[in-house]
Amino acid sequence: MATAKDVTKSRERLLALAILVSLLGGWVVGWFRHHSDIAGFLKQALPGAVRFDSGEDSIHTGLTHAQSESETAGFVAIRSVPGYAGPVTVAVGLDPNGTIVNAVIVRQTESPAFFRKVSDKGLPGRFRGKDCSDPFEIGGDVDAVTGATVTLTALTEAVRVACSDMATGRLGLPVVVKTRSPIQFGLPEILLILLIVTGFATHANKLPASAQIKWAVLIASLVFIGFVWNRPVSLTNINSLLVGYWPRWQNGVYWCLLLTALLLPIILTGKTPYCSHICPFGAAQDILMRLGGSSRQLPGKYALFFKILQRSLAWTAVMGALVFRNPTVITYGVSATFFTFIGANWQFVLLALVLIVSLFIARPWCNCLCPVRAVSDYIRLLRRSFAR
Amino acid sequence: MDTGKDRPDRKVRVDRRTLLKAAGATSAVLGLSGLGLSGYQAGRDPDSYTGCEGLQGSAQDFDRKRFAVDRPHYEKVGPTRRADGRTEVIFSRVGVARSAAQKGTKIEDLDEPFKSYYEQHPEDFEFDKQNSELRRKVAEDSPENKNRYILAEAWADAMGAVSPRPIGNDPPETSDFPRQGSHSPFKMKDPAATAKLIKKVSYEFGTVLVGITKLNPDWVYKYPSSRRGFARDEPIEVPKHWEYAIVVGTPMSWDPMYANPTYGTSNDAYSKSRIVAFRLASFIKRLGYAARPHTPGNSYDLMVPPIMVDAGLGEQGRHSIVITPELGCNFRPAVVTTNLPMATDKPIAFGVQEFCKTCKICAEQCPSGAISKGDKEVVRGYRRYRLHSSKCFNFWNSKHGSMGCRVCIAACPYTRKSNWVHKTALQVTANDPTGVSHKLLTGMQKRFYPGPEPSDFYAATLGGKNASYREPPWWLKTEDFIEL
Amino acid sequence: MSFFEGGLFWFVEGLLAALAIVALRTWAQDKGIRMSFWKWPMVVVWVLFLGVSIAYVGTSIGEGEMDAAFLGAICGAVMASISGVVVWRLLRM
Repeated sequence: MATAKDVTKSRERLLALAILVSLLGGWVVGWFRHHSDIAGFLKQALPGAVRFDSGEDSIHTGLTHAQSESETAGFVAIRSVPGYAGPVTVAVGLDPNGTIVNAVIVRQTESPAFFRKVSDKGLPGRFRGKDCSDPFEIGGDVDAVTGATVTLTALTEAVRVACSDMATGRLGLPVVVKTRSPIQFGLPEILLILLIVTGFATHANKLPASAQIKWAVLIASLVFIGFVWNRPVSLTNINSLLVGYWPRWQNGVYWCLLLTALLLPIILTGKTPYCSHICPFGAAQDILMRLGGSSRQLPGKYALFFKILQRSLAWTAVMGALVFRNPTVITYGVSATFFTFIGANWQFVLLALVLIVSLFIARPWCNCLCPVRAVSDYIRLLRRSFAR
Repeated sequence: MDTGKDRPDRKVRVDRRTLLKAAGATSAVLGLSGLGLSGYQAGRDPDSYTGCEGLQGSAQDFDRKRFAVDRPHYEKVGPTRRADGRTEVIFSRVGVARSAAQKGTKIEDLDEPFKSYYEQHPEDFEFDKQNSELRRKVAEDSPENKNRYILAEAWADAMGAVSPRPIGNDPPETSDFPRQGSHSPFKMKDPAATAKLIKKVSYEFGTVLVGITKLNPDWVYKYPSSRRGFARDEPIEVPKHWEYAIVVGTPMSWDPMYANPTYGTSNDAYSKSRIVAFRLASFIKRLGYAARPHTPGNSYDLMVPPIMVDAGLGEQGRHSIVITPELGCNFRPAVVTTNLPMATDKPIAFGVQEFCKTCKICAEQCPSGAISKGDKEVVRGYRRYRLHSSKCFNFWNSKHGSMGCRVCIAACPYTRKSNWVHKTALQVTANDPTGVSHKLLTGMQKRFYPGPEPSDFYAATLGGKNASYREPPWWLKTEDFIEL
Repeated sequence: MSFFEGGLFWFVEGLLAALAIVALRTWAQDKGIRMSFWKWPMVVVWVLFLGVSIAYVGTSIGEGEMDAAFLGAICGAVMASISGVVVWRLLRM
C-alpha cells in the first residue's frame, strides 16, 4: 500500500520531471528561434556600400554600386568573443585604406546596466577612425571602463579580431602575431581556491574554531569576491552554462572554480556549502543579522508564499534565457548592484529592502528570492527523486 | 582643638541646580548679545541692497588667504615659447582650412604660418577642413528638431546684442592711454589701497570675481590673433605699460548652462564680462593711467587662463578651463592690462590638481574626445593637460544652438550651485591633503549625477540624439510656448 | 517658501529639537533605558545623520537632480536603518 511518503515521493518525481521537460522544451524552442539577420548590420558598419559580396572566410566586401562594375567601398567582418554572460558580436567596417569606418554591436547578452557602462563611453562607435593595425589595448588606446572589464575586453577583442582578419584576408597586410590570451591565474584565483577549501572544510567540521574561521572566510569573501573583484555567482552564470555560452577556459579559471564549488557539492551530496560559507552577499546579510541582534525566520505562511515566488521567478528567468538564448534577458539579482553600485532604479529599491530586512530576519534574499537557491533546491529535488 | 585640617573648607557646592541656573543665565546673556550682533549684520547685509545685491562682491566669498601659495601650480619645464595667435588659436586658423577644403588645396601649398603649423599637426588639417561640411549636415536636421531651440537661440542672440565698441586698430601706445590733453597720471597713495579700490569698483561695474597679478610676458601672444593695433605677421613686443593684469568676469546663467551644448550660450557671460572690462579700463584711464581690455569672443592679445591662475582666482583643470572655488568652471573672464600700481594677489591651491588626476568626468563626457584622459604634457614649455582644439571645434559645428559646446563646464563636479551640499563638498576637498575625499566624491559624482552618452550630444543627422547634459529650464522649452 | 530660508525657521527647529530631547528622555525612562553621557551624543549624531540625508534628498530635488535624490534616499534609508538598529541595541546596554 502506498504510504504518505511514497505519494510525496512520486509527486516530487512528477514535479522534477515536469520542470526538466519544460527546460528541455525551452532549450529546443530557443534553438529554432536562433536566427541571424546580418544585412542591416553590414550597412551600419559600412554606410558607403550599396551591396555586399560575402566571402567564405565570412568577410563581406562592400561595393559602391548595385551594378557589377563598382568600386570597393570597404570590408565588413562580424566577429564574436565571449563576454560575461555570452558572446559579444561586433560588425566592423573598414575602408580600403584600413581605417575603421564604423563598429556596431550585432548582438550581446550582457546585463543591461553593465553594458550601458560600455556603450555610455561611446563604444564601439569610438573605434571610428582608428586604424585596423592599432593595438586596441585597454588602458592604452582604449579606455578602461570600471565595473565592466569583461564586457569591454570581449568587445575590444572582437573588434581586434575583425580588423586583423580583414587586414590579412583582404588588405594584404602581413599577419600580425596575435598574442595568445595568457591563462588567467593570479591572486583572485588563488584566493578563491583558498576560500573554497577553507569554507568547505569548515562546513564539514574538519577545522577547529570553526565559527571564527567561518566568519573570516565570509568577510574575506565579502571584501574580495564582492567589493574588490565584483565576481560572485549569479543566475546569469548558470544560465550561460545552460545556454552553452561557456567562457574560454583561459580566462574562465575563476568561473570554473566558482561554479564547480557551487554545483558539485549539491549534485554529489545535496549540501550547499557555497551558500552558507562563501557567498559574499550571504555574508553581507549575515553581518547585518549580527548587527540587528535577532535572527528570526520568516513566519510559516509567508515562508510558503516566498518559496513559491522564489522558484517561479527562477524558472521564468531560466526559461527566458533558454528560449531567447540570452542569459540576462530576465535578471533580478541585486548582489551585483550591491557590490558595484550599478543597476536599474528598481534594483536599488529591492537591494535597500533586502539590506534593511536582513537586520531583522535571517538571510531574506537567500530564503525568499535568490534564484541560485531555487536552482540548488531543484537539483536537490532531482537527487531525491531519481538518485538511489 | 579644631585645626584648619579637620574643618571642611568653605567650598561652593557645585550641584546640578546651580549648574543649570548658571548655564541658563549665561545662555540668556549670549543669546541677547547674539541678537545685537545679528542685527548689526542685518544692517550691513549685501542682500539689503535691493536691485544691486550682485554688485556688492559677496559672491567672491572663498577664503583665498588660507589657500594662498607662493607659486602657481603650472610647472615650467625647459624653454618656454609664446603662443602664435594666428595658428594656435582655433578661430584664427580655421578659415584657412575651410577655404583649403573648398579649393582642394594641400598643406604644402598653404601660406605661412599655416603651412608650418599644419605640417606639424596634419590631423588638425583634416579636422579643420570638415567644419563647413558638418554645419551643412546639422542644417539638414528636421524642422521639428531645429525649432526646439528657437527660444534658446533668441535668448542667446539677445544677450549678445549689447556690446562695447571694439578698441580699434590704433597701436597700444595710443589706444591704451587716456586721450591726449587729459591730465597726467594721479599719484596713488598706496598700492594696497589702490588694489582694494579697483576691486570694489570692479564689483560695482558688474564683475562677480576679481583678481590682480603682474603680467607674465609668456602669456602674451607672439603673433596677434585679431586686429587690435598689431601688424599680423610681426611679433608682438610686450608694451612696458602692460605691467599688471586685472582679471574680471561673470558666470553664464546657471540653468541654461546645465542644458548645454544646445540650450546654453556663452553670450550672456561674454557680454557682461566685456562691459565690466571696458568700464574698468575707462575708470583707470580717468585716473591718468594706461588700460587695455582683453575680452571674449576673440578680442585678446594674450591667454587668459594662466593669468587667472597667477591672480589667485582658481586652478586650471583637466579641460584647460580655470576652476574657481565659487563658480567652478562657470566663469568667462576678461583681462585689463594696465600700469596702475597695485598690490597683487597670490595664487591659490585648493585641491583641484589632485581631483583632476582621478576624476576625468569632463574627458568622459566630452562629445568630441578632445580632452585628455592621460597625464599632463609639456605645451610651449609648461606642464599642463593638452586639449585638442580641432576636435573640440568640430563638435561646435555638429550641434544646434548657440555657438560653442560647454559640456565640460556643465559636467565638471566643481561647477555646482552654491547650496550647503556643494559648499560642504568643496570645503572637504579643499582641506583634504590626502586625496581620499577627492576619489570618494568623484565616485559619488559619477553615480549620483550621471550624464548622457557623449555621442548622443551630436545632431540627429550626425548620429546623435540632440541630447543636452540636463533638461532645459522651463523658460527655454520652445515647445511649451510656440507651435513647433 | 521663504519661511524656510529665514532665521525664524531655525528658531522653530531649535524649539522642536528641545521638545524632542525632553520627549526622548521621558520615553527612555519609560522603556527602562538609562541615558548617560555617551548615549546622548550617539542619538544626536544619528538624528543629525538622518536629518542631513533628508536635507540632501530635498536639496537634490530642488536642484532638479532626481538621480541624486533617488540614490541619496536609498543610501540614506539603508545607512540610517543599519546604524539605527545598532544605536538601538547600544541604548539598551
